[in-house]
Amino acid sequence: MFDKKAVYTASQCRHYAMCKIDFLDTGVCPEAKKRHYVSFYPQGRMGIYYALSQKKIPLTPRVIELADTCNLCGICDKQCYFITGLRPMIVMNALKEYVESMRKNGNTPIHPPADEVFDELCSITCRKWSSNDPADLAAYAEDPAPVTMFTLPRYVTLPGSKEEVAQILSFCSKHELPWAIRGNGSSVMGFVMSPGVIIDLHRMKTIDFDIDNWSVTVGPGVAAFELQKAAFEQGFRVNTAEASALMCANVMCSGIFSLFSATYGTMADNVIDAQFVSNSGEIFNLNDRNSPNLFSFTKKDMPLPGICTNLTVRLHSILDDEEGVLVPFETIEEALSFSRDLSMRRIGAGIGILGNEYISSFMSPTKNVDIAIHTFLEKTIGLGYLVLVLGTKHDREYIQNHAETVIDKEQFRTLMLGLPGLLNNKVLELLEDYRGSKPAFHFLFQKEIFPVVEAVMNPSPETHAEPVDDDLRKFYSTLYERQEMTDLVWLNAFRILSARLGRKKHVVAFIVYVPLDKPDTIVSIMNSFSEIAERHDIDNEFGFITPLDMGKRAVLEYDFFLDHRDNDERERILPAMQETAEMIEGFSQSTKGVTWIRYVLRQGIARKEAMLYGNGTSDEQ
Amino acid sequence: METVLPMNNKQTEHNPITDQTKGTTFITGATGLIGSHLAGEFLKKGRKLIVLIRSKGNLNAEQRFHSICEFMGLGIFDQSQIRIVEGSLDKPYFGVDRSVYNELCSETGQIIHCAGNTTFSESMKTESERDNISGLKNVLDFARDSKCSWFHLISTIYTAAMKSGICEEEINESGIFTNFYEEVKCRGEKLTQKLCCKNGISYTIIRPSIVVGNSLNGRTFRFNGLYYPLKALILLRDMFYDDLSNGKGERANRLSISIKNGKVNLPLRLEYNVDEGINLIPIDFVVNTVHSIIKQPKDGFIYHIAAKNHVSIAELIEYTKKFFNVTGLTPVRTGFFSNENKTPLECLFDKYIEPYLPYMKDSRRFSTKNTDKVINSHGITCPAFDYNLFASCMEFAVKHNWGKNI
Repeated sequence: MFDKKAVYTASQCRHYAMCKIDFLDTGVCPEAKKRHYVSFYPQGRMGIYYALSQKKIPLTPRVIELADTCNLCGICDKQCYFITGLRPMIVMNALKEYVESMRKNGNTPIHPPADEVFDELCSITCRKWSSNDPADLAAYAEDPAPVTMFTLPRYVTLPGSKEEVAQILSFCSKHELPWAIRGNGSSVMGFVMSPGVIIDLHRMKTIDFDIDNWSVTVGPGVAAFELQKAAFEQGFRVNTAEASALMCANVMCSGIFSLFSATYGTMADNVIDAQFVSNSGEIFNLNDRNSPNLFSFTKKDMPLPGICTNLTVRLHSILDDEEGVLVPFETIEEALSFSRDLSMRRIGAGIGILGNEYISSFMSPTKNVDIAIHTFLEKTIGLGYLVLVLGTKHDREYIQNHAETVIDKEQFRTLMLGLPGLLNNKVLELLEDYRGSKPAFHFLFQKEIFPVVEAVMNPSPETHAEPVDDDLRKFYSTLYERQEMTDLVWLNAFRILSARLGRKKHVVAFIVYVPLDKPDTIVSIMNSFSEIAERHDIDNEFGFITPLDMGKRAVLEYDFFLDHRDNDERERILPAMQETAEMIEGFSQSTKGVTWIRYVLRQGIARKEAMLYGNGTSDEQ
Repeated sequence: METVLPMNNKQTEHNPITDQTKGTTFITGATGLIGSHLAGEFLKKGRKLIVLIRSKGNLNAEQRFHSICEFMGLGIFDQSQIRIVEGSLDKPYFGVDRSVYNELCSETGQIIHCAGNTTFSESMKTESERDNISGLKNVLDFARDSKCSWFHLISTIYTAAMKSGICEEEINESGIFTNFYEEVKCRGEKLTQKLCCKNGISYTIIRPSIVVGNSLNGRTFRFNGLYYPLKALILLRDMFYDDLSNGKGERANRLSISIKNGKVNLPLRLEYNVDEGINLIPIDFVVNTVHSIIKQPKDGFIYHIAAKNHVSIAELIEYTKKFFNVTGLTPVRTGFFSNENKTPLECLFDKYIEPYLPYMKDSRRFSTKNTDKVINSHGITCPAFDYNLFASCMEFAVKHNWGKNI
């Protein structure tokens, strides 16, 4: 009854919610756009099919509706393949076949039993926007985070206003129902799950610009990509998180950091105002004189101050000579020194040290190319790290004068579009044989010889599309005709490639704020991450480092990778995560400037200075 | 006139030959080109041998040595002749049990230290130091512990002072080197001189130039030196060959690469001077020479193994065009060729072969007085590196895909 390949595909959904945003100009699943529930998006449909196959939910009216409303348009295949290499269409077909076979066999759907409490919830949102159908619930019951188990909520509700949010919180309080607020996808630690009520704010998608005040106010259902797109159309840029991350949720969880945080800052730096519904259902604004002081920071786990129902953030200007350049390095020490120098000199609007895993996964059109490019970068050309700088022509001039090798905009485009050509056996052999006194990347990216490299790689949208599945090749060729797909500034503003980091396996990211003036500490922390992961046989890679506050501090991401359906891996990663937590706490206590992002969770609007430089003990004082 | 060594003035001509023939010969680097061929000769001659080999990948020492023996066509030899010891030079006592180490000490009569790291890469300095200095120090400690009578260090001719004219068979005290590889090898020579003198061990330093395949058939399993730039050239040719023969040749045409009269035209100008060239010696000549030296070693002597004449870049270009069926390669006299005028292909090739350029455009000549005295008495001469020898070497290289099929 269940197609094996479809079950496997469904089981592999990473919950990164990229199918909920129109990041490739394909549109999104048409039915989901109207219905908003996760269950209608490909992510939800896959989760529901998997839950059916595991007999965790029965055939319900919603399952039938989901099967019947899918028009097999194929958008999900294009979107998901771009990020994960998965083909959800096989699941969509299988779901239809499953429902058809159930119908043929005379099976009827099981309706949820009558429930007065649910009826009360529906009176707040109307019946259309709350559900207790197990299929809808299943779409909110899982998360690839290793610390979570399948947890069916009792209800899912999608309020349309702050007033409805307030009423829902009162409702939960009245019935003593636990609740969780739902962002767009998953969280690392499973915070988006609850056995009670899941509050999904996806319907609240308002975006209001106040150009004269360089600000924009967004609703809690607005994703980073959607806001950035709207801001670009107005000629501005916003400091945003990954494309599918919701602005309000991400500010609350992480304070939002990006490569642009090198100049735009993080946490309170970009927040002008925010509106909250408190846990007791009262509405307050951040700028109200009597509101809770969310600008303060305490270095401990803090309770959620309420649900952020809108956020006003700063708009930043876009200059016409902005371009991205990459500066390759062999060692992290060199990359740290260079990026700190840039940050201290206020060079570049965005700066980040990227590890090989980031570079290979972002650039590669498929998993196989990703794996090959990772090896190529590390082993063949000896490239350890790339410092990515987004800046003006003056920034580029400084970099050209101070870096031994620079990959400019055109070279990067060549690399992206000619990537499969780089894996040509003869090219590999030539570079593997290279006996220069410095690593081969210095040789490969020399300006004078790059025309030869270009001729060999034969860069074109068609070349880039060569490794992808036959039926998607044309789509990729057309997609990569767009300049923005190889424009480092655009890619880093819209961050549509970030989710590719989880293409091989689900990524568990650890974020630590570190002192950039103490490179030895940073290296020690990185080594400790690696040692812990290796000890537990967990795939691990350095992610990125972005300088903050003019080179004084930085934010470091180190990634563990997990097959979230492999129980053995889940068992192994749990003690590794525990040891990692102890390791970070140890560094945090012994070295000023080391702070774990764990404490920023629910304090994302605090002043970054209080987090980066304070002792974080104001409560105790 | 013999070379006078600055440090110990230890050179003598009367070390009894019999001393060094007693006991077993201990060879390091027996999976390298020179070490393996020397070991092969010892086995062929029925001499007793100890080889110290580290494991690599999935292969243990024995497997590695046997695959080398297979390459050299050694066939079946008396297993009691050889003791294969798995160990690492960079570890004290080679990382073997003390009892084994003591046995090796008691068995060893002379040591030929061939192991070394030939990398030019700055980023591999630590590894180079480890292999060329720390490893050597451990072998010299072993020489002291074993009370062996002779220590022969296989070094490189390029530790000789970097200057034009004649480089004598003496330690380079100038401190001038082309790269850190030469510097570290020179330090190795000085370390050998110092510790052998201190411990009363007779020693020689043997310095070959650039080694190519066997003079009769081109056989080798190391394809660096001369092979490196030629392989690069052929890879470049082949990268565009498919585009030219199967496609429209658009990519090749961008670089003015074309096919003319069935030959690939690679427009590549290479700078040269008439008095410059590369010193090439076949492996069989190296082996015969080393054997003759260690039969009649002179304590503290340095021996250059080099060809009398360099092969010029112009000659190599002619050989290459003829053998590899390419056109467009053009030697251009230095001064008639500025960096600004170079094409991307020329920039690439120049940059690629940069580490080898000092050895390809070498105007030095190497004195071989000490060596000549030995090899003349054995009737050994260095085969001239002419087109026939070039063709033999390249035929073998291409047939074995530059070592990939070996």
